[in-house]
Amino acid sequence: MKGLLIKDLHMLAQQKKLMALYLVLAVFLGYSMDSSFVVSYFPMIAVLLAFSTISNDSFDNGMAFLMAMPGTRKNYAKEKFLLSFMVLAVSWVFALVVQFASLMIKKESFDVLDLLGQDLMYIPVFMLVCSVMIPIVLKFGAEKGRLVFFAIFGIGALVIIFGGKIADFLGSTTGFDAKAFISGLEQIPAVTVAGVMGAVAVVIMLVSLLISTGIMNRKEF
Amino acid sequence: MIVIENLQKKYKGFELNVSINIPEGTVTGLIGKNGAGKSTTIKSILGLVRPDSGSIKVLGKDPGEELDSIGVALSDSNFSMMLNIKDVVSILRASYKDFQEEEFTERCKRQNLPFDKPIKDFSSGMKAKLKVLSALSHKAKLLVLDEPTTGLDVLARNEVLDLLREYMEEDPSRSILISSHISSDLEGLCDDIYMIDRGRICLHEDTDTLLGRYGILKMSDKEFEELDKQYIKVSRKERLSVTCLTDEKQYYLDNYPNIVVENSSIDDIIVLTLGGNER
Repeated sequence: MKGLLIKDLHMLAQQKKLMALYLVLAVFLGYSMDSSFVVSYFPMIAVLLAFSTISNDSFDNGMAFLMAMPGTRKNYAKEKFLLSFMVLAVSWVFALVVQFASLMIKKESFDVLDLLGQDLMYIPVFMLVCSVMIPIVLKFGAEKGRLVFFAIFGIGALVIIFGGKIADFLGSTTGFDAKAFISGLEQIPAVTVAGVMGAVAVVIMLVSLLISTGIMNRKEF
Repeated sequence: MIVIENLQKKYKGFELNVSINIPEGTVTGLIGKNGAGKSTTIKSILGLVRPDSGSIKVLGKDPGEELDSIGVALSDSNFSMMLNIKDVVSILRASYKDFQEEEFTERCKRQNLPFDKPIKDFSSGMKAKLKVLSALSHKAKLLVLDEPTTGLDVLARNEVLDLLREYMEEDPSRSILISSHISSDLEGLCDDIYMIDRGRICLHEDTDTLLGRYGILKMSDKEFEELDKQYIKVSRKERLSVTCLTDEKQYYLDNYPNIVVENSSIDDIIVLTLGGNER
Protein backbone atom coordinates (compact mmCIF):
# COMPACT_ATOMS: atom_id res chain seq x y z
CA MET A 1 0.00 0.00 0.00
CA LYS A 2 2.93 2.31 0.65
CA GLY A 3 3.89 2.15 -3.04
CA LEU A 4 0.35 3.10 -4.10
CA LEU A 5 0.24 5.99 -1.65
CA ILE A 6 3.61 7.31 -2.82
CA LYS A 7 2.43 7.05 -6.44
CA ASP A 8 -0.72 9.03 -5.66
CA LEU A 9 1.15 11.71 -3.74
CA HIS A 10 3.50 12.09 -6.71
CA MET A 11 0.49 12.29 -9.03
CA LEU A 12 -1.15 14.94 -6.85
CA ALA A 13 2.12 16.87 -6.79
CA GLN A 14 1.88 17.02 -10.61
CA GLN A 15 -1.31 19.04 -10.18
CA LYS A 16 0.43 21.81 -8.22
CA LYS A 17 -1.03 24.60 -10.38
CA LEU A 18 -4.57 23.36 -9.92
CA MET A 19 -4.05 23.04 -6.16
CA ALA A 20 -2.58 26.56 -5.97
CA LEU A 21 -5.65 27.86 -7.81
CA TYR A 22 -7.92 26.08 -5.31
CA LEU A 23 -5.97 27.57 -2.40
CA VAL A 24 -6.31 31.10 -3.80
CA LEU A 25 -10.00 30.46 -4.40
CA ALA A 26 -10.42 29.20 -0.84
CA VAL A 27 -8.74 32.30 0.61
CA PHE A 28 -10.88 34.55 -1.62
CA LEU A 29 -14.12 32.77 -0.72
CA GLY A 30 -13.22 32.67 2.95
CA TYR A 31 -12.68 36.37 3.02
CA SER A 32 -15.42 37.60 0.70
CA MET A 33 -18.30 35.24 1.57
CA ASP A 34 -19.75 33.77 4.72
CA SER A 35 -16.59 32.45 6.39
CA SER A 36 -18.10 28.99 7.09
CA PHE A 37 -18.60 28.42 3.35
CA VAL A 38 -14.89 27.82 2.83
CA VAL A 39 -14.95 24.90 5.32
CA SER A 40 -17.86 23.27 3.52
CA TYR A 41 -16.54 23.91 0.02
CA PHE A 42 -12.75 23.64 -0.02
CA PRO A 43 -12.28 20.10 1.41
CA MET A 44 -14.94 18.83 -1.01
CA ILE A 45 -13.07 20.26 -3.98
CA ALA A 46 -9.78 18.89 -2.61
CA VAL A 47 -11.17 15.39 -2.21
CA LEU A 48 -12.29 15.44 -5.86
CA LEU A 49 -8.59 15.77 -6.66
CA ALA A 50 -7.94 12.60 -4.67
CA PHE A 51 -10.69 10.80 -6.63
CA SER A 52 -9.04 11.97 -9.86
CA THR A 53 -6.11 9.63 -9.09
CA ILE A 54 -8.46 6.70 -9.81
CA SER A 55 -9.19 7.94 -13.32
CA ASN A 56 -5.49 8.73 -13.82
CA ASP A 57 -4.65 5.14 -12.81
CA SER A 58 -7.07 3.85 -15.45
CA PHE A 59 -5.78 6.18 -18.16
CA ASP A 60 -3.90 4.38 -20.98
CA ASN A 61 -4.87 1.03 -19.46
CA GLY A 62 -2.43 1.74 -16.60
CA MET A 63 -4.50 -0.25 -14.11
CA ALA A 64 -3.28 -3.59 -15.54
CA PHE A 65 0.36 -2.76 -14.83
CA LEU A 66 -0.50 -1.36 -11.41
CA MET A 67 -2.40 -4.52 -10.46
CA ALA A 68 0.59 -6.65 -11.51
CA MET A 69 2.58 -5.11 -8.64
CA PRO A 70 2.58 -6.87 -5.24
CA GLY A 71 -0.37 -6.25 -2.93
CA THR A 72 -1.98 -3.58 -5.06
CA ARG A 73 -5.28 -5.32 -5.82
CA LYS A 74 -5.86 -6.15 -2.15
CA ASN A 75 -4.95 -2.68 -0.90
CA TYR A 76 -6.15 -0.43 -3.72
CA ALA A 77 -9.53 0.53 -2.21
CA LYS A 78 -8.00 0.91 1.27
CA GLU A 79 -5.35 3.25 -0.12
CA LYS A 80 -7.93 5.40 -1.93
CA PHE A 81 -9.84 5.85 1.36
CA LEU A 82 -6.62 6.69 3.18
CA LEU A 83 -5.58 9.19 0.50
CA SER A 84 -9.03 10.82 0.52
CA PHE A 85 -8.93 11.22 4.30
CA MET A 86 -5.41 12.62 4.21
CA VAL A 87 -6.48 15.17 1.61
CA LEU A 88 -9.66 15.90 3.58
CA ALA A 89 -7.74 16.42 6.83
CA VAL A 90 -5.16 18.76 5.28
CA SER A 91 -7.74 20.79 3.34
CA TRP A 92 -10.13 20.97 6.32
CA VAL A 93 -7.36 22.33 8.57
CA PHE A 94 -6.37 24.81 5.85
CA ALA A 95 -9.99 25.92 5.43
CA LEU A 96 -10.28 26.30 9.20
CA VAL A 97 -7.21 28.55 9.29
CA VAL A 98 -8.65 30.64 6.44
CA GLN A 99 -12.00 30.89 8.26
CA PHE A 100 -10.49 31.98 11.59
CA ALA A 101 -8.07 34.40 9.91
CA SER A 102 -10.90 35.90 7.88
CA LEU A 103 -13.11 36.38 10.97
CA MET A 104 -10.22 37.99 12.85
CA ILE A 105 -9.32 40.31 9.97
CA LYS A 106 -12.97 41.32 9.62
CA LYS A 107 -13.02 41.77 13.44
CA GLU A 108 -16.16 39.66 13.77
CA SER A 109 -16.84 38.14 17.17
CA PHE A 110 -17.16 34.34 17.35
CA ASP A 111 -17.20 31.50 19.84
CA VAL A 112 -14.24 29.21 19.04
CA LEU A 113 -15.82 26.02 20.42
CA ASP A 114 -19.15 26.65 18.74
CA LEU A 115 -17.49 27.34 15.41
CA LEU A 116 -15.24 24.28 15.73
CA GLY A 117 -18.29 22.16 16.50
CA GLN A 118 -20.03 23.40 13.36
CA ASP A 119 -16.90 22.84 11.27
CA LEU A 120 -16.48 19.34 12.69
CA MET A 121 -19.94 18.43 11.44
CA TYR A 122 -18.71 18.72 7.87
CA ILE A 123 -16.17 15.91 8.35
CA PRO A 124 -18.75 13.07 8.58
CA VAL A 125 -20.48 14.56 5.53
CA PHE A 126 -17.21 14.47 3.58
CA MET A 127 -16.56 10.92 4.80
CA LEU A 128 -20.01 9.99 3.56
CA VAL A 129 -19.26 11.48 0.15
CA CYS A 130 -16.04 9.39 0.00
CA SER A 131 -17.92 6.28 1.10
CA VAL A 132 -20.46 6.74 -1.69
CA MET A 133 -18.05 7.93 -4.38
CA ILE A 134 -15.12 5.50 -4.06
CA PRO A 135 -17.08 2.27 -4.72
CA ILE A 136 -19.07 3.99 -7.49
CA VAL A 137 -15.93 5.21 -9.29
CA LEU A 138 -14.23 1.82 -8.82
CA LYS A 139 -17.26 0.01 -10.20
CA PHE A 140 -18.35 2.31 -13.03
CA GLY A 141 -15.19 4.32 -13.80
CA ALA A 142 -14.68 8.07 -13.40
CA GLU A 143 -17.09 9.25 -16.14
CA LYS A 144 -20.11 7.16 -15.22
CA GLY A 145 -19.17 7.56 -11.54
CA ARG A 146 -19.51 11.33 -11.84
CA LEU A 147 -23.01 10.93 -13.31
CA VAL A 148 -24.06 8.63 -10.48
CA PHE A 149 -22.55 11.12 -8.01
CA PHE A 150 -24.59 14.02 -9.45
CA ALA A 151 -27.71 11.86 -9.50
CA ILE A 152 -27.32 11.03 -5.80
CA PHE A 153 -26.69 14.65 -4.87
CA GLY A 154 -29.55 15.75 -7.14
CA ILE A 155 -31.87 13.48 -5.16
CA GLY A 156 -30.42 14.95 -1.93
CA ALA A 157 -31.04 18.48 -3.20
CA LEU A 158 -34.64 17.59 -4.13
CA VAL A 159 -35.22 16.22 -0.64
CA ILE A 160 -33.98 19.52 0.84
CA ILE A 161 -36.01 21.67 -1.60
CA PHE A 162 -39.18 19.72 -1.07
CA GLY A 163 -38.38 19.03 2.60
CA GLY A 164 -41.39 21.04 3.84
CA LYS A 165 -43.82 19.17 1.60
CA ILE A 166 -42.28 15.81 2.52
CA ALA A 167 -42.63 16.72 6.23
CA ASP A 168 -46.31 17.68 5.70
CA PHE A 169 -46.93 14.46 3.79
CA LEU A 170 -45.30 12.39 6.58
CA GLY A 171 -47.36 14.29 9.20
CA SER A 172 -50.67 13.67 7.39
CA THR A 173 -50.01 10.01 6.59
CA THR A 174 -48.08 8.71 9.62
CA GLY A 175 -48.65 11.39 12.22
CA PHE A 176 -44.88 11.88 12.53
CA ASP A 177 -44.07 15.57 13.18
CA ALA A 178 -40.82 15.91 11.21
CA LYS A 179 -40.55 19.67 11.76
CA ALA A 180 -40.72 19.30 15.55
CA PHE A 181 -38.20 16.47 15.33
CA ILE A 182 -35.74 18.67 13.39
CA SER A 183 -36.19 21.63 15.77
CA GLY A 184 -35.54 19.16 18.60
CA LEU A 185 -32.29 18.15 16.88
CA GLU A 186 -31.25 21.79 16.63
CA GLN A 187 -31.25 22.00 20.43
CA ILE A 188 -28.54 19.32 20.65
CA PRO A 189 -25.02 20.83 20.92
CA ALA A 190 -23.13 20.88 17.59
CA VAL A 191 -20.24 18.81 19.01
CA THR A 192 -22.65 16.01 20.05
CA VAL A 193 -24.31 16.01 16.63
CA ALA A 194 -20.85 15.91 15.01
CA GLY A 195 -19.91 12.95 17.24
CA VAL A 196 -23.05 10.95 16.40
CA MET A 197 -22.72 11.78 12.71
CA GLY A 198 -19.05 10.78 12.92
CA ALA A 199 -19.88 7.38 14.39
CA VAL A 200 -22.53 6.75 11.71
CA ALA A 201 -20.08 7.90 9.00
CA VAL A 202 -17.39 5.50 10.29
CA VAL A 203 -19.81 2.55 10.12
CA ILE A 204 -20.90 3.53 6.59
CA MET A 205 -17.27 3.98 5.60
CA LEU A 206 -16.31 0.50 6.84
CA VAL A 207 -19.18 -1.04 4.86
CA SER A 208 -18.13 0.99 1.81
CA LEU A 209 -14.51 -0.18 2.23
CA LEU A 210 -15.68 -3.80 2.26
CA ILE A 211 -17.77 -3.25 -0.86
CA SER A 212 -14.91 -1.40 -2.62
CA THR A 213 -12.40 -4.15 -1.79
CA GLY A 214 -14.89 -6.72 -3.14
CA ILE A 215 -15.24 -4.71 -6.37
CA MET A 216 -11.45 -4.62 -6.82
CA ASN A 217 -11.09 -8.34 -6.08
CA ARG A 218 -13.64 -9.23 -8.75
CA LYS A 219 -12.40 -6.81 -11.38
CA GLU A 220 -10.46 -7.89 -14.49
CA PHE A 221 -7.81 -5.74 -16.13
CA MET B 1 7.64 -22.01 -12.49
CA ILE B 2 4.37 -21.79 -14.42
CA VAL B 3 1.97 -24.69 -14.92
CA ILE B 4 -1.21 -23.98 -16.86
CA GLU B 5 -3.66 -26.83 -17.35
CA ASN B 6 -6.64 -26.39 -19.65
CA LEU B 7 -6.99 -22.68 -18.98
CA GLN B 8 -10.29 -21.61 -20.49
CA LYS B 9 -11.54 -18.09 -20.90
CA LYS B 10 -14.46 -17.08 -23.08
CA TYR B 11 -15.12 -13.66 -24.52
CA LYS B 12 -17.67 -12.72 -27.15
CA GLY B 13 -16.35 -14.29 -30.36
CA PHE B 14 -13.17 -15.64 -28.75
CA GLU B 15 -12.33 -18.65 -26.67
CA LEU B 16 -8.96 -19.34 -25.06
CA ASN B 17 -8.04 -22.92 -24.20
CA VAL B 18 -4.36 -23.50 -23.46
CA SER B 19 -1.98 -25.65 -21.43
CA ILE B 20 1.57 -24.42 -20.91
CA ASN B 21 4.42 -25.64 -18.74
CA ILE B 22 7.43 -23.43 -18.04
CA PRO B 23 10.05 -25.22 -15.95
CA GLU B 24 12.76 -23.59 -13.85
CA GLY B 25 15.72 -22.18 -15.76
CA THR B 26 14.04 -21.83 -19.15
CA VAL B 27 13.26 -18.97 -21.47
CA THR B 28 9.95 -19.65 -23.17
CA GLY B 29 8.62 -17.69 -26.12
CA LEU B 30 4.95 -17.16 -26.90
CA ILE B 31 4.21 -16.22 -30.48
CA GLY B 32 1.04 -15.66 -32.43
CA LYS B 33 -0.94 -13.13 -34.42
CA ASN B 34 -2.64 -10.15 -32.81
CA GLY B 35 -5.74 -11.32 -30.97
CA ALA B 36 -4.51 -14.95 -30.83
CA GLY B 37 -4.68 -15.02 -27.02
CA LYS B 38 -1.10 -14.16 -25.95
CA SER B 39 -2.04 -11.21 -23.75
CA THR B 40 -5.02 -13.02 -22.20
CA THR B 41 -2.73 -15.92 -21.32
CA ILE B 42 -0.18 -13.55 -19.79
CA LYS B 43 -2.86 -11.63 -17.88
CA SER B 44 -4.25 -14.91 -16.53
CA ILE B 45 -0.78 -15.83 -15.25
CA LEU B 46 -0.59 -12.49 -13.43
CA GLY B 47 -4.10 -12.81 -11.96
CA LEU B 48 -5.36 -9.82 -13.94
CA VAL B 49 -7.93 -11.96 -15.73
CA ARG B 50 -9.85 -14.78 -14.05
CA PRO B 51 -10.11 -18.05 -16.00
CA ASP B 52 -13.54 -19.62 -16.49
CA SER B 53 -11.99 -23.03 -15.80
CA GLY B 54 -8.68 -24.87 -15.62
CA SER B 55 -5.80 -24.36 -13.25
CA ILE B 56 -2.81 -22.03 -13.14
CA LYS B 57 0.08 -22.29 -10.71
CA VAL B 58 2.76 -19.63 -10.71
CA LEU B 59 5.78 -20.31 -8.49
CA GLY B 60 3.60 -22.95 -6.81
CA LYS B 61 0.86 -20.49 -5.88
CA ASP B 62 -2.33 -19.11 -7.40
CA PRO B 63 -1.94 -16.24 -9.89
CA GLY B 64 -1.47 -12.85 -8.26
CA GLU B 65 -0.09 -14.26 -5.00
CA GLU B 66 3.64 -14.13 -5.75
CA LEU B 67 3.87 -10.82 -7.59
CA ASP B 68 6.85 -9.73 -5.50
CA SER B 69 8.87 -12.46 -7.21
CA ILE B 70 7.70 -11.66 -10.74
CA GLY B 71 9.06 -8.95 -13.02
CA VAL B 72 6.33 -7.74 -15.35
CA ALA B 73 6.30 -5.74 -18.58
CA LEU B 74 2.95 -5.45 -20.34
CA SER B 75 2.54 -4.40 -23.96
CA ASP B 76 -0.25 -1.88 -23.44
CA SER B 77 0.23 -0.75 -19.86
CA ASN B 78 2.88 1.14 -17.95
CA PHE B 79 3.40 3.49 -15.02
CA SER B 80 1.15 6.57 -15.14
CA MET B 81 2.34 8.91 -17.89
CA MET B 82 2.32 11.79 -15.38
CA LEU B 83 5.19 10.29 -13.38
CA ASN B 84 8.93 10.59 -14.01
CA ILE B 85 11.75 8.14 -13.27
CA LYS B 86 12.48 9.73 -9.88
CA ASP B 87 8.85 9.00 -8.91
CA VAL B 88 9.14 5.48 -10.35
CA VAL B 89 12.23 4.83 -8.18
CA SER B 90 10.38 5.77 -4.98
CA ILE B 91 7.35 3.66 -6.00
CA LEU B 92 9.49 0.60 -6.80
CA ARG B 93 11.43 1.06 -3.55
CA ALA B 94 8.17 1.02 -1.58
CA SER B 95 6.65 -1.86 -3.56
CA TYR B 96 9.38 -4.51 -3.91
CA LYS B 97 11.38 -6.03 -1.06
CA ASP B 98 14.48 -6.58 -3.21
CA PHE B 99 14.43 -3.43 -5.31
CA GLN B 100 17.99 -2.77 -6.52
CA GLU B 101 17.93 1.01 -6.59
CA GLU B 102 21.54 1.62 -7.49
CA GLU B 103 21.52 -0.92 -10.32
CA PHE B 104 18.20 0.40 -11.66
CA THR B 105 19.29 4.06 -11.72
CA GLU B 106 22.63 3.07 -13.24
CA ARG B 107 20.90 1.11 -16.03
CA CYS B 108 18.47 4.00 -16.67
CA LYS B 109 21.43 6.37 -16.98
CA ARG B 110 23.21 3.96 -19.31
CA GLN B 111 20.11 3.89 -21.52
CA ASN B 112 20.00 7.73 -21.45
CA LEU B 113 16.56 7.81 -19.85
CA PRO B 114 15.81 11.27 -18.41
CA PHE B 115 15.00 11.28 -14.69
CA ASP B 116 12.97 14.51 -14.49
CA LYS B 117 10.90 14.25 -17.65
CA PRO B 118 7.33 12.85 -17.37
CA ILE B 119 6.96 9.45 -19.03
CA LYS B 120 4.38 10.92 -21.44
CA ASP B 121 7.23 12.85 -23.09
CA PHE B 122 9.35 9.69 -23.59
CA SER B 123 9.78 8.19 -27.06
CA SER B 124 8.17 4.75 -27.51
CA GLY B 125 11.65 3.20 -27.31
CA MET B 126 12.36 4.93 -23.99
CA LYS B 127 9.02 3.75 -22.59
CA ALA B 128 9.81 0.17 -23.67
CA LYS B 129 13.25 0.32 -22.02
CA LEU B 130 11.77 1.66 -18.78
CA LYS B 131 9.27 -1.22 -18.67
CA VAL B 132 12.00 -3.84 -19.08
CA LEU B 133 14.37 -2.15 -16.62
CA SER B 134 11.56 -1.96 -14.04
CA ALA B 135 10.82 -5.66 -14.52
CA LEU B 136 14.52 -6.45 -14.00
CA SER B 137 14.88 -4.18 -10.98
CA HIS B 138 13.93 -6.41 -8.06
CA LYS B 139 15.68 -9.76 -8.44
CA ALA B 140 12.52 -11.50 -9.65
CA LYS B 141 12.52 -15.30 -9.95
CA LEU B 142 10.33 -15.07 -13.02
CA LEU B 143 9.95 -12.48 -15.76
CA VAL B 144 6.69 -12.20 -17.65
CA LEU B 145 7.20 -9.92 -20.62
CA ASP B 146 4.48 -9.12 -23.14
CA GLU B 147 5.99 -7.66 -26.32
CA PRO B 148 8.90 -6.03 -24.45
CA THR B 149 10.88 -5.11 -27.57
CA THR B 150 8.06 -3.39 -29.45
CA GLY B 151 9.06 0.14 -30.40
CA LEU B 152 12.79 -0.46 -29.98
CA ASP B 153 15.32 -0.04 -32.78
CA VAL B 154 17.73 -2.91 -33.58
CA LEU B 155 20.49 -1.65 -31.27
CA ALA B 156 18.16 -1.02 -28.34
CA ARG B 157 16.52 -4.42 -28.91
CA ASN B 158 19.90 -6.12 -28.71
CA GLU B 159 20.70 -4.21 -25.52
CA VAL B 160 17.42 -5.37 -23.96
CA LEU B 161 18.04 -8.96 -25.05
CA ASP B 162 21.51 -8.77 -23.55
CA LEU B 163 19.98 -7.58 -20.27
CA LEU B 164 17.66 -10.60 -20.33
CA ARG B 165 20.58 -12.97 -21.01
CA GLU B 166 22.49 -11.33 -18.15
CA TYR B 167 19.45 -11.83 -15.91
CA MET B 168 19.45 -15.56 -16.70
CA GLU B 169 23.23 -15.88 -16.22
CA GLU B 170 23.03 -14.31 -12.73
CA ASP B 171 20.80 -17.15 -11.51
CA PRO B 172 20.17 -20.10 -13.86
CA SER B 173 17.12 -21.19 -11.85
CA ARG B 174 15.21 -18.12 -13.06
CA SER B 175 12.72 -18.30 -15.91
CA ILE B 176 11.35 -15.94 -18.52
CA LEU B 177 8.07 -16.04 -20.44
CA ILE B 178 8.29 -13.62 -23.33
CA SER B 179 5.83 -12.87 -26.09
CA SER B 180 7.04 -11.10 -29.18
CA HIS B 181 6.19 -10.36 -32.78
CA ILE B 182 9.88 -10.17 -33.61
CA SER B 183 10.87 -13.78 -34.14
CA SER B 184 14.60 -13.08 -34.41
CA ASP B 185 14.44 -11.96 -30.74
CA LEU B 186 12.99 -15.32 -29.78
CA GLU B 187 15.38 -17.38 -31.94
CA GLY B 188 18.40 -16.05 -30.10
CA LEU B 189 16.92 -16.12 -26.62
CA CYS B 190 14.30 -18.83 -26.09
CA ASP B 191 14.78 -22.46 -25.14
CA ASP B 192 11.32 -23.37 -26.35
CA ILE B 193 8.47 -21.72 -28.18
CA TYR B 194 4.69 -21.97 -27.94
CA MET B 195 2.71 -20.81 -30.95
CA ILE B 196 -0.83 -19.74 -30.25
CA ASP B 197 -3.60 -19.29 -32.80
CA ARG B 198 -7.26 -18.44 -32.21
CA GLY B 199 -6.91 -19.27 -28.53
CA ARG B 200 -5.26 -22.68 -29.01
CA ILE B 201 -1.63 -23.79 -28.78
CA CYS B 202 -0.92 -24.97 -32.31
CA LEU B 203 2.78 -25.71 -31.89
CA HIS B 204 5.25 -26.28 -29.04
CA GLU B 205 8.87 -27.15 -29.72
CA ASP B 206 12.37 -26.58 -28.46
CA THR B 207 13.95 -23.72 -30.41
CA ASP B 208 16.88 -25.96 -31.38
CA THR B 209 14.45 -28.48 -32.88
CA LEU B 210 12.57 -25.75 -34.72
CA LEU B 211 15.74 -24.37 -36.22
CA GLY B 212 17.58 -27.70 -36.67
CA ARG B 213 14.98 -30.29 -37.68
CA TYR B 214 12.21 -28.20 -39.15
CA GLY B 215 12.52 -27.21 -42.79
CA ILE B 216 10.69 -25.79 -45.77
CA LEU B 217 9.98 -28.00 -48.77
CA LYS B 218 9.16 -26.57 -52.18
CA MET B 219 7.82 -28.74 -54.97
CA SER B 220 5.40 -29.01 -57.89
CA ASP B 221 1.80 -30.17 -57.46
CA LYS B 222 2.69 -33.56 -58.91
CA GLU B 223 5.64 -34.02 -56.54
CA PHE B 224 3.39 -33.04 -53.66
CA GLU B 225 0.83 -35.67 -54.62
CA GLU B 226 3.54 -38.35 -54.56
CA LEU B 227 5.16 -37.09 -51.34
CA ASP B 228 5.15 -39.14 -48.13
CA LYS B 229 3.32 -36.71 -45.89
CA GLN B 230 3.93 -38.32 -42.51
CA TYR B 231 6.36 -35.58 -41.44
CA ILE B 232 4.50 -32.70 -43.06
CA LYS B 233 3.08 -30.30 -40.44
CA VAL B 234 1.37 -27.87 -42.83
CA SER B 235 1.32 -27.14 -46.53
CA ARG B 236 0.45 -24.12 -48.59
CA LYS B 237 -0.68 -24.24 -52.20
CA GLU B 238 0.78 -21.46 -54.27
CA ARG B 239 0.18 -20.62 -57.95
CA LEU B 240 2.67 -23.03 -59.48
CA SER B 241 4.02 -24.93 -56.53
CA VAL B 242 3.38 -26.24 -53.02
CA THR B 243 5.33 -25.14 -49.94
CA CYS B 244 5.38 -27.42 -46.90
CA LEU B 245 6.67 -27.25 -43.37
CA THR B 246 8.27 -30.42 -42.08
CA ASP B 247 9.61 -31.37 -38.68
CA GLU B 248 11.99 -33.94 -40.28
CA LYS B 249 13.80 -32.14 -43.07
CA GLN B 250 16.58 -34.76 -43.12
CA TYR B 251 14.06 -37.45 -44.11
CA TYR B 252 13.12 -35.46 -47.21
CA LEU B 253 16.74 -34.56 -47.97
CA ASP B 254 17.58 -38.27 -47.95
CA ASN B 255 14.53 -39.55 -49.83
CA TYR B 256 13.48 -36.78 -52.21
CA PRO B 257 16.58 -35.41 -53.93
CA ASN B 258 14.50 -33.52 -56.52
CA ILE B 259 12.53 -31.28 -54.18
CA VAL B 260 13.96 -28.10 -52.67
CA VAL B 261 14.63 -28.41 -48.93
CA GLU B 262 15.53 -25.20 -47.07
CA ASN B 263 16.27 -24.35 -43.46
CA SER B 264 13.32 -22.65 -41.81
CA SER B 265 13.37 -19.53 -39.69
CA ILE B 266 10.73 -18.95 -37.02
CA ASP B 267 9.14 -16.40 -39.35
CA ASP B 268 8.74 -19.11 -42.03
CA ILE B 269 7.21 -21.43 -39.44
CA ILE B 270 4.78 -18.70 -38.32
CA VAL B 271 3.76 -17.86 -41.88
CA LEU B 272 3.22 -21.49 -42.83
CA THR B 273 1.62 -22.64 -39.61
CA LEU B 274 -0.74 -19.71 -39.23
CA GLY B 275 -1.37 -19.22 -42.94
CA GLY B 276 -1.16 -22.76 -44.36
CA ASN B 277 -3.53 -25.75 -44.67
CA GLU B 278 -2.96 -28.12 -41.79
CA ARG B 279 -2.17 -31.74 -42.76
